[in-house]
Amino acid sequence: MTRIQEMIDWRKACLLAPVTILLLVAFVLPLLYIVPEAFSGDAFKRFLRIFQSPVYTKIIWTTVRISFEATAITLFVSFPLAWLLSRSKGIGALLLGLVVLVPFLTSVLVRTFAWLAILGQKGLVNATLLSLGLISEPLPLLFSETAVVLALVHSAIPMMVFALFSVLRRIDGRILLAAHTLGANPARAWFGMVVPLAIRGIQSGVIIVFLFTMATFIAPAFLGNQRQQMLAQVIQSEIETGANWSLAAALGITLAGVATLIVVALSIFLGIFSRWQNPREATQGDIKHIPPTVDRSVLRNPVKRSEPRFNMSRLWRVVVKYAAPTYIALISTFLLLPLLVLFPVAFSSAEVLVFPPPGFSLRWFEEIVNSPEWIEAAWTSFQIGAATSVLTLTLATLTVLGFGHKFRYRNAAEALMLSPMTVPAVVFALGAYLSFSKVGLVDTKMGIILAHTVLGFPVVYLVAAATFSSIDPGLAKAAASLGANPFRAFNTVTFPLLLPGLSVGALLAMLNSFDESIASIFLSNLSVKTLPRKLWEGIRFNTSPEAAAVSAMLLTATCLIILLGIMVIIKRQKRSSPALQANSESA
Amino acid sequence: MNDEPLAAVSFQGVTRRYGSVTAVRDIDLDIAPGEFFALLGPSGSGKTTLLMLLAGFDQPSDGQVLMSGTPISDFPPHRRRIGVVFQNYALFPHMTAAENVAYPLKMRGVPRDERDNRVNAALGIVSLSDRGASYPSQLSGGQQQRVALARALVFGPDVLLMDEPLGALDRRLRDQMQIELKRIQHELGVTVIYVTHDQSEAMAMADRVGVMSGGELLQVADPETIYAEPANHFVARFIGECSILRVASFDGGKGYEISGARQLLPTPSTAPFDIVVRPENVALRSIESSNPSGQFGIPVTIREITYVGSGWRVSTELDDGQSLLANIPRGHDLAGNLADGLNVIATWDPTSVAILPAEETTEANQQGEKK
Repeated sequence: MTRIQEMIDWRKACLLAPVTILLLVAFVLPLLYIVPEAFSGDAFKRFLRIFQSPVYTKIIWTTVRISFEATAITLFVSFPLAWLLSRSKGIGALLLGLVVLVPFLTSVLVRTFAWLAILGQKGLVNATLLSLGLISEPLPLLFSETAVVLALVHSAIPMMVFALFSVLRRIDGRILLAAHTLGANPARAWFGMVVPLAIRGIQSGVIIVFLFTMATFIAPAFLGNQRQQMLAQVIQSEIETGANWSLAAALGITLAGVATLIVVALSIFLGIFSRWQNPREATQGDIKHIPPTVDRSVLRNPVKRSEPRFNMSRLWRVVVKYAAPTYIALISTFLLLPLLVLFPVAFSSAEVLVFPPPGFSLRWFEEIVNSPEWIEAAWTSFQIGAATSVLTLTLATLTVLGFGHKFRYRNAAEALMLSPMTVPAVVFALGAYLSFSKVGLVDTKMGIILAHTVLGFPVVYLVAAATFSSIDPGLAKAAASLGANPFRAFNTVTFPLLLPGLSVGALLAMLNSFDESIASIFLSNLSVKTLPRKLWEGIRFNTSPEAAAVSAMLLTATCLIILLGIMVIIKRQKRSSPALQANSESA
Repeated sequence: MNDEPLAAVSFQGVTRRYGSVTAVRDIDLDIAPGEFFALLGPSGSGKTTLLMLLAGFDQPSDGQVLMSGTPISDFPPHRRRIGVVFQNYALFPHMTAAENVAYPLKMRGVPRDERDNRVNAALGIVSLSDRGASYPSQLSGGQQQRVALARALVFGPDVLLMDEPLGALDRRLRDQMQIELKRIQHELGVTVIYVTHDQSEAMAMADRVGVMSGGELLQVADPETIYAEPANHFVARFIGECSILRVASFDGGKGYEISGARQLLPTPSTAPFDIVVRPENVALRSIESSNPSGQFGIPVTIREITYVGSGWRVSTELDDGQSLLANIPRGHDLAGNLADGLNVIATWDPTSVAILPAEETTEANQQGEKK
C-alpha cells in the first residue's frame, strides 16, 4: 500500500514540477531579486530619503488615500450589481454578466484612455454641458484626483463584482424570506442577512481591488497631475528613464510593505465579522444559567407590535419595482460608456480629441493600417499572446491533473499557484525587469512571455480546476474498468470533458496577455514592442484619435473573443443538458 | 357575524395565475383556531403557492385571504402574524441558535428582559436549552429543525406554517419530531398549517387533511374519513394502498356486480360508480373451502407475492383482468402454499367498500400507489 502511494506521489510530483519550477524561477526569484538591489550600497540613506523627504511621504500618503477612496466607492457601487447578478437567470444573467465581463476583459490602458475623451476640455461631458447651456466655460475635470478615482473605480468594479458574486450566489434566498416572515422589513432583512453573509466576498474583493489600485500607474499618469503622483508611477518612471534602479527597488519594497500591512490589517478587521464561519465549540462558560423551570406559558401570548403610522408596504413595492431597473441603467451606462465613446472618436476627422467629432473619416484607421510600427506591434502581441496561451494552458492542465481529486498538500500548493494574484503587479514587473536584465531577457519576446505566463496562470488554473472538479472521478474509474489504460482513459474521457474549460481558459490567457500593460511596459522597449506598450507611448506623447482607433480595434477584437467564449460555453451546455435532464428525471 | 368563532385562516375563492398557468384554482377553505391542518399533495399540486399567498410573498389573482376575519392583502409578510418553518429551515448561519430565536423579537422591539425570557422558553419547549450558544453549522439536522421551530413560535404567532418541515430528516427522527410537534401544538394551542407530500405524516398528525392536486382542493376531511371515504380516484390512490374496481350496478344502484357475484351497498348510489377496496379488508380463502350461506366471493388468481413482515401482500387478477390487492396475515390457512397462479376466492365486507364517481380512464384499474 505504501509503495503504491509512493508511486502515485511521484506521478503527481512530475505533473506539478513544471509549474513549480516556472513560478520559482520566473516569479519568486525576481521578487527576491528586488531585495539586494534595494539594499545595495548605502541602503540606510536611501530609505531615510524615502521616509523623510516630504515628496515621498506625500506620494505614499496619496497612494494609500486614493486606493482607499477607490476601494470604498467600488465596494459600494458593486454590491447591488453583484447581488442582482447572483439572483438573475437566463438571458438577464447573460446580459448583466456581459456588462461586467466586457470591461473586465478590455485593456486597462484602453479604458483609462477613454476617460480622456469623456472628461477632457473638449470631451463628452463638457461638450454636453456646454451645449445644454449649463456652463459657459469647460470644467477642469481632467488631471484631478476625481478623474483618477473615477477611472480606478471603473477598472475595479468587475473584479469586485466577481469576488462578491462567487459568495453571493451561494446565499439561500429563503433566508431572506425567513427574515421577512419573522418581522424584518425588506431593507432590514437585506442588510441584516446579505451583507454579513457576503463578508468573505467583501474581504477578498476589497483586498484584490486595494492591491490593484495600489499598484496602478496608468490612471494617475494619464488622468492625474503632479499632486496625484502615486508610488507605482514613480517606480515606473525611475525604470523608464533608467535613473536609479536601487531607488526603484527600494520604492518597490516600500509599496509591497505598505500594501501588505494594510491588507493584513484589513483581513484581521474583516475577519472579526466572519468568525461565525469557524465557530469554536461552545464551552460551559458560554451557557447562560437557565432557571430549571422556564415559564413556557409566555409563548401563548402574542408579542405586541405597534402599528406603523404609515403603511409602507405600497411604498416598498414601488421602491422595489423601480430601484433595481434605475440602478442597472446607471451602472451599465457607467461601465459601458467609456468603451462606446471610443468609436465616434476613432472615426473622427479632427487632429485632436474633440467631442462631438467635427466630421467622420477613416483617416486614423488608414494611418494605423499603413503604419509598419502598429502592424509590427500587433503581430508581436499576437505571437506573445499565442505562446503565452499555449504555455499557460499546458501548465494548468498538468497542475490540475497533478492535484487530482485528492491531494494532501493542496491548500499550501494552491497558495503558491495563486500567489501571482496576491502581489501588486507593478512589484512583480519591477522584479522581473531587474532580474531579467541580468540574463538578457529584457526587451525580448521570451521575457514577456514568461512574465505573462506567470500573471495569467492563476486565472486559467482556476477555470481549469473548476471544470475538473465538476467531472465525476468515477468516470475515469469506469473507463479503467472497461479496459482503458490510464493514458487512454485520459485521452478518451477526462480530456474531452476538460476541453471546454480549457478552451475558455486559453481564450482568457490570450486576452490577458494581449491586453496586459504593466509587465509589457516594463519589459518591452525598442526591439520588442507590444501593442499596449506602443499604445502607452502613443497616449503619453500625443493624445490623438489614432490611439482611439487602436483602442476601438482592440475592443472589437476583445468582444469577438468573448463571443467565441460564450459560444463554446453554450455549446457545452447544450451537449450536457440532455444528460442532465435524464438525471433529474430519474432522481 | 354568526356565533361560530372566526376562522383563524380563511381562503375565499382564491385563484393564482402565472400567465396562462393556473397554480391554484378557486380555493375555499376555513381553518379553525387551534386546528392542526395538513395540506397534502404531490409536488406541483399548488400547496406551496397557497402557502406563499398566506405568508404574503405572493398576491392572489382573484379572491382573498383572511385571518380572523380581516383581509390581509395589504399586510406585507413582516406584518402578518405568521410563523413560518421553511423546508430547509433557512436558519441564519451567522447567528447562534439563541440569536436566531431572538431575531423576531428584536424586529418587534421587545425589551431585553422579556426577550431573554421568551428565548429561554422557546428553546426549552424544543428541548434545546443547552445549545443556545451554538451556530447552526454546529447543530445536527434535527436540532436545526428545532431551532427553526422555536424561532417561528417565539413571538406568539396566530398561525404556524410549516413547509415540508421533516422532509430532510431520517425516518426515526421524523417519527420522534411528529410526536413532539403534536405535543408543542397542544401546549401552545397555536393553529398549524402543515404542508407535506407524505400522506402517512399528514394522517398521523392532522386534525383535518386537505388533499390538493393540479391546483385544486379535492377533499377536506378528518384522516379517518379521507381514508375510508375518499372523494375520488386521485384521493383514493394518494392515501394508502387500495384497489379501484370497475363494477356494474344493478337495481338502480342498490348494489353492484363483479365477476358474477353481487353485493348490496349499505347506501345505494344512483350515479355510475367504481369501488375502492383496501387490501387489509380483503379476505382470501381456498376454492375448496366451504362457502357458508352463499356469501359474496369472487374467483381470483394470485400473480405476485411480497413478504412484508407481518404477513404477505399479494396481487391478484380477476377474470376480467382487473387487479386486486390483498393482505394475508401470518398463520392464515393459505400461508403455507401461496404460489403464483393459484386460484382462490376473494371476499370483503360491504361496509368496508367505498364508492367513487366512475372515471372513464384506461388506468381506472391501476393499483393505488403510495405518494
